Amino acid sequence: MSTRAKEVARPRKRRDGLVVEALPEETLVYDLERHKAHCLAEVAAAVWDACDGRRTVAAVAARAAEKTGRPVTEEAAWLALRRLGRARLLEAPVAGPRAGPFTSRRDWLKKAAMLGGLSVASITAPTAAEAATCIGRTACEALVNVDCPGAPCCTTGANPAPAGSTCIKQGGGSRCTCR
Amino acid sequence: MGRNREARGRQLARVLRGAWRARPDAGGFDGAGLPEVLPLLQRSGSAGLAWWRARSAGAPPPVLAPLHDAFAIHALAAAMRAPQVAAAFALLRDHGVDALLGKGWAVARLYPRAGLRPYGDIDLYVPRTDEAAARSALDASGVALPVDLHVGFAELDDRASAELFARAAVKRLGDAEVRVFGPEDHLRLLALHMLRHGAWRPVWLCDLALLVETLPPDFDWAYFTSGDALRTDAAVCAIRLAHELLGADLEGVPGSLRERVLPGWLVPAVLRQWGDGEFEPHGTRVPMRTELRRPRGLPHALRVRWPNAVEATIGQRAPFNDLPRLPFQLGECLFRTLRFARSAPPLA
Repeated sequence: MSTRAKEVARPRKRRDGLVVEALPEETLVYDLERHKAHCLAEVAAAVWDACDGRRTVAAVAARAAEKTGRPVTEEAAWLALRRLGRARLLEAPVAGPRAGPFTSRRDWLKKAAMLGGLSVASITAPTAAEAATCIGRTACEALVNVDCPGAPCCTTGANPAPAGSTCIKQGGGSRCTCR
Repeated sequence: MGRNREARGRQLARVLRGAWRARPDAGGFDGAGLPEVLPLLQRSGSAGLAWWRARSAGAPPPVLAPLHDAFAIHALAAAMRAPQVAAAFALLRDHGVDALLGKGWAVARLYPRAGLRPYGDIDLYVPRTDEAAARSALDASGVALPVDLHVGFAELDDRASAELFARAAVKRLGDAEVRVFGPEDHLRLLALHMLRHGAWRPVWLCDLALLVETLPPDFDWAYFTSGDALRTDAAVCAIRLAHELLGADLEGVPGSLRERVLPGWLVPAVLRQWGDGEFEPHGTRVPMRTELRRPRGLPHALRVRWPNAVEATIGQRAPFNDLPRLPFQLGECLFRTLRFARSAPPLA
């Protein structure tokens, strides 16, 4: 087995640069580096949580099943890992097994359709939550520092601001900034 | 046009009815009308609460999806903001400054889920005597915290600072301790703050509904109604408004306050404000001194600054009675213009 294959076989969840909010039915994750939010359904969240870099995929599936009280097959765990990898929530992406009865994407999707709780949904429009109550970064930075409104900065658009930032006075500067 | 706005505002009120409760009542929920008010819910920060209500009413996934996205963003923003609240208190404490937290986290923490009630900045209130020390503490950290430092106690300045601190409550936030206003002061502050801003955010009225439905057994109504009589009456009207528009249960409110009859203009004025898709709230507008440099945009700038009946009433210290509001709105405009003329430096 190659080094990469070994890494893939024992997936490790990414920890740095993420804000995680675990809720009863889902886990929300904000990627501070890519400014993207993800919503992990129950099983996907349990799979992600079990990725400690020591467990095999089979062990990850078993741990997720134990945690959720739902049957989690190895196929389901692979599918969740694939989705988590695409969302950049693993230290290294998973490629999936090269051969076997469930290697085709169609097979995976068919199996996933029968199992709930595996979705890893990206929330691509944070402006939906902040439209009109946020100030564009360019507009904020054009204001002199006595006019900083303290309003949330928009995280999308031509010049997106960091998530959770507000238009405030910058220490020693003459203009406002999104921080 | 005004009728349309009022109808949209009413639809929005129907969506948010009881939405602050742990188990919102599904009765009367109109999923079909939701898409029309979706942008209004999103821009006013009420989409998370709408999701909570729609979910409990069994709304279908296509209706829930955009609302859930908004909730998720708010929940993550709250997770990022909460440590900053704790950090701000730690900084002030290290510099020997006692502060009180109002609005924001102080009320969001009472909702059934983080993210249902979004908040942007951290509203800290300090006595005037502590202003310099507080500013120096917050600047010294080198970390820009989104603190809105209130010098004095804003709508609560008819109360003694010592009384506000004596009635304050200490709440845990992670490993930190945060001092929030006592329940009577917080209810009054939230009510008056909402009215001062023309009640434009429905979530502010949900705050009042939540607070009056979860009052502590020893809530002191005599203290709540003490102080400036005009402010007290305005705060009582706001509580009554939460009942009229959102179905807040006023069982815990004394009968004499519960029976306050609202002036006829109040409910329509708030509904029109809620239904106004063009509204630009304070804090997101281009500053007036910038607008004056491009006169073509001036009509728009003036239109978005026209005070609604509620904020004009508060701004002009007028009573909440049945007299027409237009004189107060004109008076408020004049007052703001004079204040701006006095404060603005000459144009370059």
